[in-house]
Amino acid sequence: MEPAVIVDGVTKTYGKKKALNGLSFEVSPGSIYGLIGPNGAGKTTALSILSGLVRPTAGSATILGIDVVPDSRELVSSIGFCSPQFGLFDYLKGREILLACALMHGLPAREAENRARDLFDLLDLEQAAGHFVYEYSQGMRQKLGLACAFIHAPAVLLLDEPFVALDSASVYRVVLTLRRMASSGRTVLLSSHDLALVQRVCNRVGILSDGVLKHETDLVSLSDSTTATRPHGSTGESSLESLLWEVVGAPDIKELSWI
Amino acid sequence: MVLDNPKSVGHQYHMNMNLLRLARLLLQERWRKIGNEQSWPARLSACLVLLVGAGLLISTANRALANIPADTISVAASRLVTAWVLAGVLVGKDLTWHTRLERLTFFPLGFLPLYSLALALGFLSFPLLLVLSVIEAAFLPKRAGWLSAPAVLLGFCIIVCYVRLSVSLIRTALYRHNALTPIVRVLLSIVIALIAVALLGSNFDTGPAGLLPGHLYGPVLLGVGPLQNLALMSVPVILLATADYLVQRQVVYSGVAGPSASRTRKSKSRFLLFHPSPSATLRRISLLGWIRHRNALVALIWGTGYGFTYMYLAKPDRSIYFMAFSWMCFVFHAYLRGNLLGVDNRAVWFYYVSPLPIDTVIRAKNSSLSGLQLVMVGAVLLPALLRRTPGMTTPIEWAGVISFALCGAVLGEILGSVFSVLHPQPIDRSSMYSGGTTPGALLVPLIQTISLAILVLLGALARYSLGTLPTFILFALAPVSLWVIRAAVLRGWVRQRMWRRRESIMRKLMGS
Repeated sequence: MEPAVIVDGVTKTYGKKKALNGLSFEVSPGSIYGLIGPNGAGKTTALSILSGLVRPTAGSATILGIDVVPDSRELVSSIGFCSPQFGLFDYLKGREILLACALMHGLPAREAENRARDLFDLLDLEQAAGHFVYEYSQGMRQKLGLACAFIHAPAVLLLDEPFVALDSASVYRVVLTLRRMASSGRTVLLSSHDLALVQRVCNRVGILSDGVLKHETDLVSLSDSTTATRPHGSTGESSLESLLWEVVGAPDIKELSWI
Repeated sequence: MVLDNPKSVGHQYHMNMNLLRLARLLLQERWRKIGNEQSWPARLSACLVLLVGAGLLISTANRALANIPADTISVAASRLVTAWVLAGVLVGKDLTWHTRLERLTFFPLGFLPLYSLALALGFLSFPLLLVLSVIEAAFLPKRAGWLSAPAVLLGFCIIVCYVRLSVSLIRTALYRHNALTPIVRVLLSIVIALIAVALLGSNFDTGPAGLLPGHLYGPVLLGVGPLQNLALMSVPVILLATADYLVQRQVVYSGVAGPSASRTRKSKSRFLLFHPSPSATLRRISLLGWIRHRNALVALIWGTGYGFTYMYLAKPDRSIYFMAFSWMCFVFHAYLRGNLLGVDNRAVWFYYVSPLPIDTVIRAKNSSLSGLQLVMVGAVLLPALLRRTPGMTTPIEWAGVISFALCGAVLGEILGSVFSVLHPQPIDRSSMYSGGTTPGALLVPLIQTISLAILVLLGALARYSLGTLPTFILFALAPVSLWVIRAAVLRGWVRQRMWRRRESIMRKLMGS
């Protein structure tokens, strides 16, 4: 089966800094792929490039066979993108933003209203729907961002840190929704620092570090009993956490003598 | 410990050093922010252009002021100060630097030192320093006595404080009244009523109007009774500073981040769902954005109300008045026009992932802003339409004014598109003063003014030398040709530039 997302040798430099260095990976349709790695590894840059927001310095990418190039309406209609790095319109109300998203994607008014109602219900945002976005908490903004990415039921979802600042009930609902979307043939590519959630929701993960994909694995094959290097004798980390530390190096614990 | 005793010399020294450190931090941050928004060649060339402009202004002022009587200078200074306050209230730019006090309460300093620091730093603004240098140099030959130079400087500082504090109090009432307790609201209303009386009073040349700071600054400029005049000028400023300190203190510690929001859940949504289509949705969202932008709304209300009232009551008999008021309507929104994406701030990425062509965003924002401006122009023309003015009776007069208004709007759209794409800058809507420092904010109204003045001159020339029909044709052709330029060239250019510059646009607007 043709991969839904193909990233081929993508490099991105900001001045002298290489945010991505020849990144290549593929995501199968109907799967949930997680990108993990330390801060500054290049996860947000990779997702921004795939969404068409950022131009790669070198390399190419396709989504559902569509080249990721600027000004591609076909690409934009096929993807849903959400990132806490990117803001929303502070002086619009949640309902207005969501309806605008739906209508701009060409949904009929009634359908747009129905989907917006369903999403507000799903994400527990009904009470806040009539409030301005600047009044929202970080978690509420994140939920609204997710709702905007979901509303046109895109074939590929690009979600940067989708669980950040969400309450546990919302996380549960989002996880179920993502699984449902994947089982209906849609593809999800997400990045997260919450390894337990990544392990719960993803089929496959890629570990990014310094702009390079260091390791890729199917999560089904990753056994919970994996024993890896554990920093300073700490215990309780998940198998994915152990794998991450194995790949990118275990964190040092520095003592603060003045505390 | 010495530092634990607030009255000890050591404690005071420590606090003063902290203030200096904070001032240095704020200056560093401002310098880097400007660096992020404009490259150093852009900053340098802007400085050079302004300095050359200032030099020309100084030499012109020196010649013009040589024979002007002192009273005339006082009246002019008083009216200039009024215009300065009004401009500050309407567009949020009073030329001073406004540091956001709510960001500074994090530092271990009391509110009074922070407020004083913000007030002092307000003077470190390039346009303000430029104005000061022009004033100092323009009045140099007229000075008498050793006190003149410092008196002019001190008087200017008092005027700046007067303007800044008046603007601050009025804009706080407009933007943050929901953060104030009822008692402070009442006190603020009284202070604003006094400011309004002072602003109205500047229209008179004698009587109590002679006690207004602007009026008193006239003799100071000429070296007449500097100490006495400066003392009188200080009185209202001290009162305003006390009021502003109390009001800002309450606002900062209220935790209110913006104007109060209405709780209607569906009314505005229906507005979006009425005949929905992707591009119409974008236009309506843009219109909502402008209406909810306090500066745009205040300018709309002022332009509509003042334009209509003046025309209705003053009954001007020449079409040039209508053109002048229409020009005023365009200038109010010029800084928003020159930075259309600025109000979207961190949300600008949204347009790049929306399924509409990217140039439709600029078109939607432009057309909705033009709509607001044409409402203001409509209010200016309404008294003439209702036959309440002796002017505007011939078709050629109407053609001239309508052509002027349409040219102003379409030219504004063209210039706005160009400057918005090339020089975007974030406008922080939770701040009462953010925005208005882009090249577009200055150049859009300037080019608009020059072009519209040329149109008026050409119209007058055509009318008196060629006759009515060619003048009609000129008035018809002017907006049509601008329309054609906009349709034929601008759309493709905007689309190409917005995509090519997308990372730069997002970096500037999102700060990352």
